Amino acid sequence: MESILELKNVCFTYPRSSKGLYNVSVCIPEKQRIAVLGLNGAGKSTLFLTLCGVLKPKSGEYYIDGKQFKFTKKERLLLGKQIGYVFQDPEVQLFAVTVYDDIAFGLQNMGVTESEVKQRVEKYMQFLNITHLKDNAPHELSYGQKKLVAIAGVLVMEPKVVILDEPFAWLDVVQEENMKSMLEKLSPQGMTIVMSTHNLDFAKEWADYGIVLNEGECVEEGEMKQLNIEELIHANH
Amino acid sequence: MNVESDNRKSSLKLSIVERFTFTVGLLTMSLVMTETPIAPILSIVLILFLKAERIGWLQILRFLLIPLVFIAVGLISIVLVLGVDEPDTVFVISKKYIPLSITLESLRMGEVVLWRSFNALLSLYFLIATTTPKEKNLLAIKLHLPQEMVELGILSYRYIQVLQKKKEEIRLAQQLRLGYTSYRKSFRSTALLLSTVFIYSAYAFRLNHQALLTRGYNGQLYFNSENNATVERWWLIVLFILLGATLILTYNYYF
Ligand SMILES: Nc1ncnc2c1ncn2[C@@H]1O[C@H](COP(=O)(O)OP(=O)(O)O)[C@@H](O)[C@H]1O
Ligand SMILES: [Mg+2]
Repeated sequence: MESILELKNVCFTYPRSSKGLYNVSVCIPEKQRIAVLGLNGAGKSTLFLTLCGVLKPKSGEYYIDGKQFKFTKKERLLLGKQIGYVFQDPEVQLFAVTVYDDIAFGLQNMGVTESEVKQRVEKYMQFLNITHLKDNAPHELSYGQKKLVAIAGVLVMEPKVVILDEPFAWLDVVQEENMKSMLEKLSPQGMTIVMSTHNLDFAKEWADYGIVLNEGECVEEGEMKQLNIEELIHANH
Repeated sequence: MNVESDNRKSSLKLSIVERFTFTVGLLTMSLVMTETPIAPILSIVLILFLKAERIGWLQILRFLLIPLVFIAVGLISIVLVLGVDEPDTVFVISKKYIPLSITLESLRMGEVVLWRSFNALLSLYFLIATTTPKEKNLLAIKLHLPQEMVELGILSYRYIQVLQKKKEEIRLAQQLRLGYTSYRKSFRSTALLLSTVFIYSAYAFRLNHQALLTRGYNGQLYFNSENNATVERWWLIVLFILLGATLILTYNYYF
């Protein structure tokens, strides 16, 4: 199994706080579905922000496709080409005047021609069933709709790895079902999908690979089938 | 409400809408530019604006005094770091009972907070000091020292934090979608960022106002220009926005 992202003995602490990541080594296998599990405050979002190059570890190494990532400013600015990140709260991610502009933002930065931008934005709006929202202002949308727009803005760039931070948070039952079927449709496209969730049942049936965090440490990692997650999460609590 | 002539009336002869735009622009710039040497230059420009409004040094000092005490107390807690073994320690204060030191990182944080608060205060003062009591109650609030004054200070401080948080969130979201990979792209991203923060400030202002109302607040914080005899000089507003934008846009890419 090829790993596309790999952290080796990574330590990170937030300024003026003892919280963070402690000696975390994890592999993200390529073209698989990876579930990151852990209680609130376990460090899932911190791990993701490190993988996206936003937080710079105090020590440890980070390899992307076997090549060491040095967290230089230039590298960090360009990482969005390979890794897409969907924040837990879409409120912090949307900024353009219309939904279309927001989704197109990343693509335009990649230097794609305007006609291809249009075509790809439309493709992903259709994929997520949000074509009718095209001309709306992002702040006028409902929470679930904002979430879909935020996801579209990342998917449209077709990064190799998509990281979703708690995609089910605060969704109602119908929206949750839609999100699940969207995730199902996404996998055959050859993307590596990393997701954090509290939904153990879903994680068990959806994921190929699991990573369990507890208080900033990686306590278990491996094939989902072989992980005994309930026990792990309860034992650590 | 009638606008009567008043000896405090703006000597730059700006209408209330112009002044409000100025202030929001200045405030945004204050939040974006927190690094030397741009931040001190901005402070000088802000003070020049205040002087152009014929506001005395004493008045400026009196206004800054109370908030600056708060800022100073806050700064101390930011600059001092618990522990003495950070790699970038520049000064160790005590080792024995409570290990305290100052690090490069903490000094930088302190500097950023200082410039941000100082410039933001000056920008707010521009609006407060040039708004006549007849126009709004702001000055009245200001004159009833010290409790209301403190309250206002806290309110605006909260407001600044909200805007600051928003700015950082959006900047990060843009960076992750390749918004700052070249000079041209960061130009565009920063423009978008500013307009969002600007729109959001109006939105946050409304929410704040609603929150105040639910707690029985009956004063007026809003500015309406209905009875304002002055004609808005849009070229002035546009000129200011252009100048500010050029500065900010060039700035965000290099730092
Ligand atoms: N900006 C921050 N400053 C200080 N501590 C933080 C910050 N962000 C998160 N933390 C702390 O780090 C720990 C891990 O947080 P996080 O990664 O967000 O957890 P999760 O996403 O698993 O719920 C928590 O204890 C949290 O309080
Ligand atoms: Mg989280």
